[in-house]
Amino acid sequence: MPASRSESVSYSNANASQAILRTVDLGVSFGGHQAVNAVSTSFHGGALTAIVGPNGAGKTTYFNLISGQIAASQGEVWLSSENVTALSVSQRARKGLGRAFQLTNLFPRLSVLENIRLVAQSMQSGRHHHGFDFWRIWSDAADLIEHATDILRSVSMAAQLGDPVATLSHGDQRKLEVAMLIAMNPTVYMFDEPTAGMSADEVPVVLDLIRDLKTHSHKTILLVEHKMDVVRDLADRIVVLHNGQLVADGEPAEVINSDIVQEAYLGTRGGARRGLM
Amino acid sequence: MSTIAKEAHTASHQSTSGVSRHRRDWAAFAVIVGILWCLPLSLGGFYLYLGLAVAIYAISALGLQIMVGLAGQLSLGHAAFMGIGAYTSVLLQKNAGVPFPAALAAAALAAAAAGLLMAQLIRLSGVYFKIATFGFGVVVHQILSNWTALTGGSAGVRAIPAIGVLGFQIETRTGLFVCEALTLTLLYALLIRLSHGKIGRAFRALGQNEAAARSVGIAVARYRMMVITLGCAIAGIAGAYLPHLMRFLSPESFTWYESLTCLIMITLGGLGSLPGAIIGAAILIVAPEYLRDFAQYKMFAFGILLVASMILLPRGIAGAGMSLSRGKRMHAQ
Repeated sequence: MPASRSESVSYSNANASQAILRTVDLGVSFGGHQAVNAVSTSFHGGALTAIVGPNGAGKTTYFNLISGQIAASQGEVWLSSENVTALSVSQRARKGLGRAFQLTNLFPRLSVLENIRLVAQSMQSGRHHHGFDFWRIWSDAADLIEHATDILRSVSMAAQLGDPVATLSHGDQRKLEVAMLIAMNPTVYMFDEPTAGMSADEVPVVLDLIRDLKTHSHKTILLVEHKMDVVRDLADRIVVLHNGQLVADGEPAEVINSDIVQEAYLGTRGGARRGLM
Repeated sequence: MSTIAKEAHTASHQSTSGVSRHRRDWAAFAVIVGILWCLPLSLGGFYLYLGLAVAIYAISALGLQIMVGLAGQLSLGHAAFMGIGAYTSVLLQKNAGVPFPAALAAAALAAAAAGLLMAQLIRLSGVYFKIATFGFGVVVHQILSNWTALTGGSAGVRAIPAIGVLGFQIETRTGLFVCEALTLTLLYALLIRLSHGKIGRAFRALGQNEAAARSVGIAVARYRMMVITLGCAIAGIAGAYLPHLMRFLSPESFTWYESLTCLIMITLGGLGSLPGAIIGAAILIVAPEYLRDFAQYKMFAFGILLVASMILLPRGIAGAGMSLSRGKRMHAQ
């Protein structure tokens, strides 16, 4: 059996001291509807946690609360030892929360290289932090261009670096989003349905990129995903949300086979497990 | 053509690598600045007057271009900031004997402060911001028209003092043109540098996808304040020169129609294009001078021009020129 909600909370709290990301009683309501209800859990480095649940479970809203797109009605978000609940989206991004969206979130009239470079530069610290490198022209920033090109090489997009983003295929745009996240070099990678809308032959490319991130970096990766085969393939841990509440949290095999997940997904207890396998 | 296809089509024209775009902008700079300096000075007379007017509105249009074309912050009250600059500069020179360079700096600062105030007060985005900027422009015009003790109200300010620089009085149109052209050249060069630096890229990111800009760590609110302040400061600089050309200062130079004219300048020239802003300003200043018999139809013609350019040249004259040169290059290859 996976941990129940109360068990998972105590599990998370027990490990809270080493947690990279923590949410404490995090929630939001819209009118009378509690979209996310007091979710407390923590996420650790070097692990990929899949956040699953049926449509309307509150997964994307939970992501929005963590990344700051939506202000929380209750609770807190902690990044390492810092409470980031009051910070804006851009401040949280600079602190290390990197977020990719369900819908591609790119700069369509800039080239592929410019998109990556923009992200890499916005993450710079020191005297360039606020962008007042007034005299530094494009051709002077060879190091940034090289860095951006390296990232594009790592996602097999070096050949497209001069292409306008709006002319890329949907799959390439998702790849570019992953590349932009890599350019941010965040502490926490947040992927919201990274394979949504992709053709069958494009899906493995993006999944391989995420797998590479998981293998070669010691980062915290959060993944919202509907496709259970993808979750089974990538996840080290699964957190299940249902009606805005955390209902299960544990190892993938036991969570997927648990009655609570079967009921949440299929409306049946114990039966039809094959559908989720 | 679908929306996505249109976006892709536009992008394929607009997005080249940063390096080539940088070179292209400097090439356009060389051509435009060359024409600006040579034509009015060599032709003299009425053409010098036209050159003076073009330079003033080109400066103003550059300010609006970085706000609207680059950063997507559509302002419908741009002329108000020209007005703030004009009155600040003239009143300081006339009433306090402040030399022109200091008055010019004060004009930029006053317009920037007003822009910052507007951005802080309004703190809206999207269509609400646009409507509020329109309201702000109307309020400023009303203040200029009704604060008679300071501005002279609708009677305006007469006896505009000559520009004094380093002890020299510049009383000729040629001298005034050199000052204006120098200011335009410097500002144009600075804005090219800015648009290819981190700030310029942040402005472009803000103009293309505000949510994405936020999510990759760009401080959207700060850059929005920055671009509005900068655009308004540049409008203030343009405004400071206007009374020296007109020899008279009146609130009627800073109405909603003037704001609309500035918008048409950058749209016709090409949204997002710095050379486009100057080309658009040149067309909208020069053309009416040759069509004085139809002066009463000026705004009607401008409206038609705006609609026609949106349909026929959605990327403006600068964009059409770029497509043409790219087409020729591809044909040659």
